[in-house]
Amino acid sequence: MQRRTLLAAAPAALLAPRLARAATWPEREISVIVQYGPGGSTDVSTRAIAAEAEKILGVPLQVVNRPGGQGTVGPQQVAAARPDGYTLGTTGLAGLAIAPHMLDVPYSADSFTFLPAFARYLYGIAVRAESPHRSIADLLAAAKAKRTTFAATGAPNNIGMFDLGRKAGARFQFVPFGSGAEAVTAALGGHVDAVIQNPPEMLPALQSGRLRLLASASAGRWKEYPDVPTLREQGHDVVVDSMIGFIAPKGVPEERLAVLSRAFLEAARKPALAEILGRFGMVPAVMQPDEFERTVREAHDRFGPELREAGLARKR
Amino acid sequence: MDGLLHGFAVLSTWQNLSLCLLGAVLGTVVGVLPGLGPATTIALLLPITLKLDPTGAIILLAGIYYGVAYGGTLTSVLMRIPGEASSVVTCLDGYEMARKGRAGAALGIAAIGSFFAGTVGILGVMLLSPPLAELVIAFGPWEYAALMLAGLSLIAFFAASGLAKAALMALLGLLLGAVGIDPIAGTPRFTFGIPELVDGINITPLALGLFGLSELLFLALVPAGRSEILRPPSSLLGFLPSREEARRSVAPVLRGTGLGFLVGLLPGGGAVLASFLSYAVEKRLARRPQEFGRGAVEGVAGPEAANNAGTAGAFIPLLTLGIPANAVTALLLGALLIHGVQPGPMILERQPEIYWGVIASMYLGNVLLLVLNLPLVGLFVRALEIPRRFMAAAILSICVIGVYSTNLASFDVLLAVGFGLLGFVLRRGGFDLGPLVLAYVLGPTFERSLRQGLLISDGDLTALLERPIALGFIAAATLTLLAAMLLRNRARVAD
Repeated sequence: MQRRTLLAAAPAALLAPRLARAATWPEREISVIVQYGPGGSTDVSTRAIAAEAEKILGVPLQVVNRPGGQGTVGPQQVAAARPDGYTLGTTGLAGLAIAPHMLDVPYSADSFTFLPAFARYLYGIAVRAESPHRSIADLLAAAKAKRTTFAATGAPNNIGMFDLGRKAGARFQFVPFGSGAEAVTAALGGHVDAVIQNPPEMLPALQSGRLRLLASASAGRWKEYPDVPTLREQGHDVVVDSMIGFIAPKGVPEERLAVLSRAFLEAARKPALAEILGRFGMVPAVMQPDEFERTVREAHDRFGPELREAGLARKR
Repeated sequence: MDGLLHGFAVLSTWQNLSLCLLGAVLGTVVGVLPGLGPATTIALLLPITLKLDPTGAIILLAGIYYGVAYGGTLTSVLMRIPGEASSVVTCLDGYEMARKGRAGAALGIAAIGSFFAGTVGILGVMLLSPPLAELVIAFGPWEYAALMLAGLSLIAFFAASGLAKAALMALLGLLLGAVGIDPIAGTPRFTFGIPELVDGINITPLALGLFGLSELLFLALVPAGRSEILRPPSSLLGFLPSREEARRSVAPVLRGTGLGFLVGLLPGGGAVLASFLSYAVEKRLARRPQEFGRGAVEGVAGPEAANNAGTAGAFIPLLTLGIPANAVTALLLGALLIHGVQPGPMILERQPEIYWGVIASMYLGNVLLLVLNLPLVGLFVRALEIPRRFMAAAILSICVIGVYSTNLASFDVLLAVGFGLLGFVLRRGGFDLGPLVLAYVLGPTFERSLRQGLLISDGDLTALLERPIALGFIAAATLTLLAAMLLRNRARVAD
């Protein structure tokens, strides 16, 4: 019995100093830079997970909004921050995989160390109630026969529609709008044939019956519309995806990254977070750092040619 | 009516009443401080409202939103610094009225006009929501483009300085508005590789520079004695508008209310656009257009009513369609979502206490704002008794702090200084700044909508012919331009 206790205690004793050191980091508050202004889905979801993560890390997480440059100022500041783990940021494909094709930004995926991602955005394709299209097949048939327009705010939504059209031999004309709300309004008024956006701006019109959801453009169905299948389920291999996760400047010490990753992975599984995310049309989706990084890099390489083909990328 | 009574019942708790008052007061303060806008304030307060119930939270935030439309006038009139983007246009004539000793009258008219427009606006929200929601949807890219074109055509009447100079200023304004991200291609243009310009030129450094800082340079040029503003009469009645001023304000307030309400409804519209369009319309209709820019009371009454009505109008698409019409209502939408409230047509059935609570709080808030603002006019006008050399220092610091605090960017301060110099040079050269700012405000929406329309129609301009609303606006624009040319010719003959 004694022997056993001793044996069990030995590794613990060896580990103890390490644990003690790990527990002393972080020692002070951590800043989390959000690339958009307060009140939007990126900001709210970051604040929600920060509230959970600070209980785990034992230090406050200060959320700092650094809007500007179409959401590129935030990542820029993260990349330039001291790599001590006290300055982090949240971002997704918009800042890392899309903006670099449109704007001259001083960073790339190589400027960052990736931490876990915690949520995915949902996308859906809809038409107005008066539209004759009842399914994606109807919409595609129409787009093969004549010019068919869709409203969206930009990438990755528009890339998804281009993809869908190309694979089905149809052509869609993209009409950009400044906000999701304006894109949905244009579809409601019949000014465009379809719209591809996120749930928060589409749900009011869907629930009142003015807008008809033809497909979830994401990997899964919307929880509000469990009967509406995804594009994949309707036989089209297209998934519009974007996520939000944490990034840190390159060169943060490994053990600090481990502490942060563990805390964010744990916080990402809290039910309170899922509740907030749901209201902003997102779903909890835990991604390990390497998976997040791989997804960002793949998306970056794929979006470049697609945006250039659509005439939407910066000239080289 | 039952609904409204229900709303007042919701409102009549101590908590909700004090939140309504707090919102209105905060809104006034935020309106007075340049740079600190309603969007920033609401964003800052969002985390705090999490501790409140959803109704209380939205009453507080809505109070800030409509309170701002009252407060922004103050510095515009007294110092030629727009406290808020929606009060930029008030600088033009409000400040000139102050120089003639009519600061009290300008502020009084603005407060009463705001109250009237705000109250009518809420009535509109209550009674006309469903049909007006249809109008919002009927407005597509072509309609927007045509409306903006009609607005731009009013520039012909905008300037006392002559058509050529006004057109030149309008072109400059269009250029300034075009800086930033191309609205269709999504790539930057006219940014000269400066990352701070990617999001375009913000209205805060532009307006504070052109109006506030350029005024400082003027003050520095004029000998001390002559730069003093005429003191307003010190009797209590002196703060009230004269019978003549009141009479001349009635029609502009009515028109401003209607116009502002309709423009406020439209996504991308809102109080700023409403105030500028109202100013242009008043100038067009005025019996003495030559007085505009020299202290015409119509130029204060119309826009100030319009920005309040626009504020109310923007609630209709938010509450009935779940569509935010501008940045501030987008934040209110965010606040509702955080509280688990999904705005939209279902809100009346699912959470009537929120819908009617907000409406009732807006009635009460407007009364509170009038009661707060009117007696204070006398106090505020005293600020004019401060010698101008001290006032100049205050204007400088308010401008710099205001510009810096918007985005915490020192680049914006440099930009404001640049605009201050530009404004000074232009005004010395006899150019009016009105057309510049109007074109800067309307231009981007015009461009974006026109190009959207052309994308939809595949470059075919004849698509316009199928759109009666748009054709109506274009006809109005054409008539306006023709009238401007005819009137000018007649004026020349008369000379």
